[in-house]
Amino acid sequence: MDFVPREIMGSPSSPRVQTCYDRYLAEPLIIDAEYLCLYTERHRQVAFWEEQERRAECHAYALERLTPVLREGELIVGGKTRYVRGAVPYANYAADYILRELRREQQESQDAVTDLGTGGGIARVHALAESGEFEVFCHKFLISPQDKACLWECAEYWSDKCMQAEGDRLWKTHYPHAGWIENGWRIVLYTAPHDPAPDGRFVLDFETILGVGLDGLIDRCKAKIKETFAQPGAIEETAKVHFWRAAIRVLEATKTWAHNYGRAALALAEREARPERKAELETIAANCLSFGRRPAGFHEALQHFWLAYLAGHLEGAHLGYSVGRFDRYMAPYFQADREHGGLTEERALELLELLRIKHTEIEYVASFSWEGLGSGNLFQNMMLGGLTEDGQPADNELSLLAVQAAINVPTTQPTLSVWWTPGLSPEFLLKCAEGVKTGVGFPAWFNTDVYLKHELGRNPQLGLGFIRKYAAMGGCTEPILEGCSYGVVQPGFINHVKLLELALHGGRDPRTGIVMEERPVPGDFESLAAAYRRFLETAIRRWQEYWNVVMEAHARTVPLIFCSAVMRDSIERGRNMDRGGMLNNATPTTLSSGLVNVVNALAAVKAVVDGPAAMDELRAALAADWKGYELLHRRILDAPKWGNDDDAADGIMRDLWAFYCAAVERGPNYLGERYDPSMLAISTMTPFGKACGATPDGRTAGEPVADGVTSPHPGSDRNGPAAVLRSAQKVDHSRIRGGLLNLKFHPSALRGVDGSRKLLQLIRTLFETQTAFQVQFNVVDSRMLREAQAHPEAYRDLIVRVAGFSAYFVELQKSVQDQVIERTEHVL
Amino acid sequence: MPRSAPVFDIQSLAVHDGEGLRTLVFLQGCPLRCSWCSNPEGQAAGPQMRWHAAKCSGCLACRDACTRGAVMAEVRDGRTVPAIDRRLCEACRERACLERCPTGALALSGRAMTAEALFKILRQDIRLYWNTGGGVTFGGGEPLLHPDFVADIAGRLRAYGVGTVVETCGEWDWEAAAPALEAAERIYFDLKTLGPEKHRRFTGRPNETILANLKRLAETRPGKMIISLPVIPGLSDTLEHAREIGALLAGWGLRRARLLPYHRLGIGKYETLGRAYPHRSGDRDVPPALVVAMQDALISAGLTVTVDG
Ligand code: SF4
Ligand code: SF4
Repeated sequence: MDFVPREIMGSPSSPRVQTCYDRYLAEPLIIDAEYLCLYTERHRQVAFWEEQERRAECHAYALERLTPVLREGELIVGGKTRYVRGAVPYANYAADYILRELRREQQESQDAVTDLGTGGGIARVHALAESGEFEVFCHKFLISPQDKACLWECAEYWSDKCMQAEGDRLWKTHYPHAGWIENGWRIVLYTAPHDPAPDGRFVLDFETILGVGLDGLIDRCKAKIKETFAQPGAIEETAKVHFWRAAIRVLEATKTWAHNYGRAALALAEREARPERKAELETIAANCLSFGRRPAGFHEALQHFWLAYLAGHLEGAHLGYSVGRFDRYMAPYFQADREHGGLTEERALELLELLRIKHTEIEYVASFSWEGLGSGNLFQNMMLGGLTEDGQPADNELSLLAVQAAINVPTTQPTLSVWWTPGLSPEFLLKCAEGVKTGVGFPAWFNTDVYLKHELGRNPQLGLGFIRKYAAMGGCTEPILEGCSYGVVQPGFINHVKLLELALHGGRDPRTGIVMEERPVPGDFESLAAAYRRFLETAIRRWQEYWNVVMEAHARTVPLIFCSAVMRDSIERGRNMDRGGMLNNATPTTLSSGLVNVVNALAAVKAVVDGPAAMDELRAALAADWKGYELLHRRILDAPKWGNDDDAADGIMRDLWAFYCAAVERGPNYLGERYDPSMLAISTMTPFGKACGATPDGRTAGEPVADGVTSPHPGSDRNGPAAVLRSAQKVDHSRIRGGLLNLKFHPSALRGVDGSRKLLQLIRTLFETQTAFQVQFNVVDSRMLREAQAHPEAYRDLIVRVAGFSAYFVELQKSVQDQVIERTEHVL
Repeated sequence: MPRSAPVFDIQSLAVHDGEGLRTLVFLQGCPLRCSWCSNPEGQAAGPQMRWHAAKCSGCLACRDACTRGAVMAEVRDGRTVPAIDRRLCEACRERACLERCPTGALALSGRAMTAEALFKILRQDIRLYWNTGGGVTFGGGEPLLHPDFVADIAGRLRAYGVGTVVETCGEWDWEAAAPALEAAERIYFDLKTLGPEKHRRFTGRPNETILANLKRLAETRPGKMIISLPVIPGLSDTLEHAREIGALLAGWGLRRARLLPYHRLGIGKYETLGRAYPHRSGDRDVPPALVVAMQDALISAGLTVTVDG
């Protein structure tokens, strides 16, 4: 049968964009050790310096020496590595996984439950590796022999100095519950250590970066030093000078690095025979050489934005490092250029499309199991729409173009998100609906009011206007305040389903036999629910405590100096973000996934199990993976399930939701505030599911857990999508930082402008209730997805959203692909 | 005695079959037996036992459970599976097989619902109907076999300012159907073919009543009418057919129509009912160009025409 074609098929708006896009799609993923080697070289010489100045010096030294690479056709230049799709191995964060990979040893115990994609750029990697010029690294990257040798040497140097080693030394020696954490990894109660990529999930203060330039910030640091030394006083005050000195070093080096691109462009221009390209290169050179001062035109502002964004990205091992409210802070440059600078709509669109390709070029390498979790996605989020400081709808002409660029060049990054509010302009809303219909799932929709309520509750001192203006997304679905929030940093995910297994078996993990904590074996619904809550509370508390120790090591080994200096209020306070430099420090979260399965399981036990004997029978059925207990399995599957607007299940969800939030909030974070509850899934549903046996919600052994936060478990939504939405509205999303709901639509369901209107009306109805926080759509055809599974080469650019982000479908692991396909098709 | 009707499906968030976002309610029972029907489970008057081969484990617990001996073991494609004797099964009330089926391969399609119970479900989406200009659409089966039930629900929705759409094949007694015709804000009326003999061959019945009912509706309620024209290979997939229909409808003062090109999406349902797919020209597709030409022909006759499905 024929595919229903996706209605809106965008294509790059110029041959130039097409060339750059094709080049990107054809490139393999490569590890580039240049930054790490330079950084390490310098570290050997300055190891005894004050921690901030040492960090700044190493980073600055590397920046100044990185090779600037410019590519044919580009108008915005700058890359994190020398390759089109390159990743930096941050051995200064965690060296262990790199060494193990180099020695070809088994990684964490969690690798057994992780799988990665095989198509697209990943397939190219394996083909190229066979040619012998490169070797495969971490399953999906190439590495040259020179880089490998250098990486090996660096990783050995860092093995006892990296953040992970420093942290491990502390908590493994002194933390009384170290055994719980280590066993927690073995039984996959927690995701693997997050040390290889703990940073990110914040947005730089681009408004200031563009507005006063790095020069302005350097001047401010100098002034602060002068002030402090005019009358030296208390030790803490004098100590701040180290931060300012570090900031100046790194800001200056960032300018040098940017100017190196300018000089490289000039050198190319000199040798360029084609007059148009020569002129382009000269413009590029001018745009890079002016970095540090306030830009004038839109093209120049975009180049400055990109260089600053990239510089922040280079400094740390980031995930969820994001763009923020792009259509707000870029608007002044865009509008001025439109009105007085001769900027055409076509030119602006071309530049925005090229920028998308730049974002997508960034890759990251982390431990194998974390890559499986993120499906290789960096979670760079661009936020559009929303409200102005005084509560007016904030969308503008640039917002529309940003969506159009994503339709034309459907790269996975950056993810587009919209702060939904009823007053957004009809043109923008229709354009967003068009974006959804391309099948890339862009944009995701977020309910502004729910977040305002959450952040205002946590940070009343910031005020409503401030929160409206800077509300952004740090990563896939974690809201933060642009330019002044500490990252949504977290140690990884807690596996709710594993906690349920522990509760069922008196604290013993049935898969490994490891006993986490001996407890009575429950004989009925009440005692099971109570045991689950107890284990949940313990798991949360210890996870938080463990992470508080790790982050102390972070503050000493890898504090972010550049990022701090370009965010508020580090310079004014003389502190980097680990030391309280940010205006908002309430962002570290505790994350979990699989709650929906626990809700379904408890609802089923309540409905089906009527005493200790029945409970024992249930345990026997689980141990047998339902074999020989088919009738019981049926009854369990027929019991009330979340997502059907059935209070028997939804009521349990509401209770557990509140319990979880309260338990998380009781824990103090390492910045002197309270932890913030959040729930997400990314790709945890597969490894978490693999590590768990059959569960009383009817899951079979190894089956993935539910994705999303309020999405029903696949196949368990029997009452249709409207009931899914009604269930989702029953929990108070303003309690948590994040949350998501996936809905999938057949493209024919949303045909034409009438289809768009229906989509927009649906969103409106869902958000009107004020509790639902997020919704995102997959508009694809499951037959198309199966076809893509069978013939990945023909579907390289097929993008699908999975739990909060987009990825190339052919690069997802098979089990996630299957889940995308199986998720109940909601044909509007 | 509360009004009730057999409902075999409820679909929320539907975009077809009317304005805005709608809920589709499918009522059981139909006087016609169209060979291309994509909802065969809705044809018989009572609930239907369905059996899904892919889910069935072949345990035969259903055979042992059935008190009427309606289930026999049968070897198909090299595996033993249950075969339901439909004549014996039709009248069963106990459904002992369902209780014992561990896989969910057996499922009963259709259950009697009171108007209260149905309205309780529909009521939850009233805000959605308000925001989108949507409402409820009755399909089937033939919903006008349950006119009082339809009128009851339509009346309740009316109190909230929400409209009801009825999709009908037109084969019913005028007086009996009147309350529902009155209550519906729009009627999608199926017109398959004008030839009585051809009609009988493809649907099991001639079309005199249907045409008479359509004519009377055209005279009394023309504004409510949208004529659904299925384009079925071997029956109605010609340009002449479109011209003929166009002339008739225009002559009766009907202004709106929609073309519904043939699809085979319902084919799997026949297997679950233990029936063979009855449409003979089912392997033939309707070329999109023909649909466009038919649309043009109808437009030249003065109609407003959409293509749905
Ligand atoms: S009881 Fe269910 S699974 Fe077993 S043979 Fe009958 S239909 Fe198949
Ligand atoms: S519905 Fe009744 S007659 Fe039919 S198979 Fe089941 S038990 Fe037997």
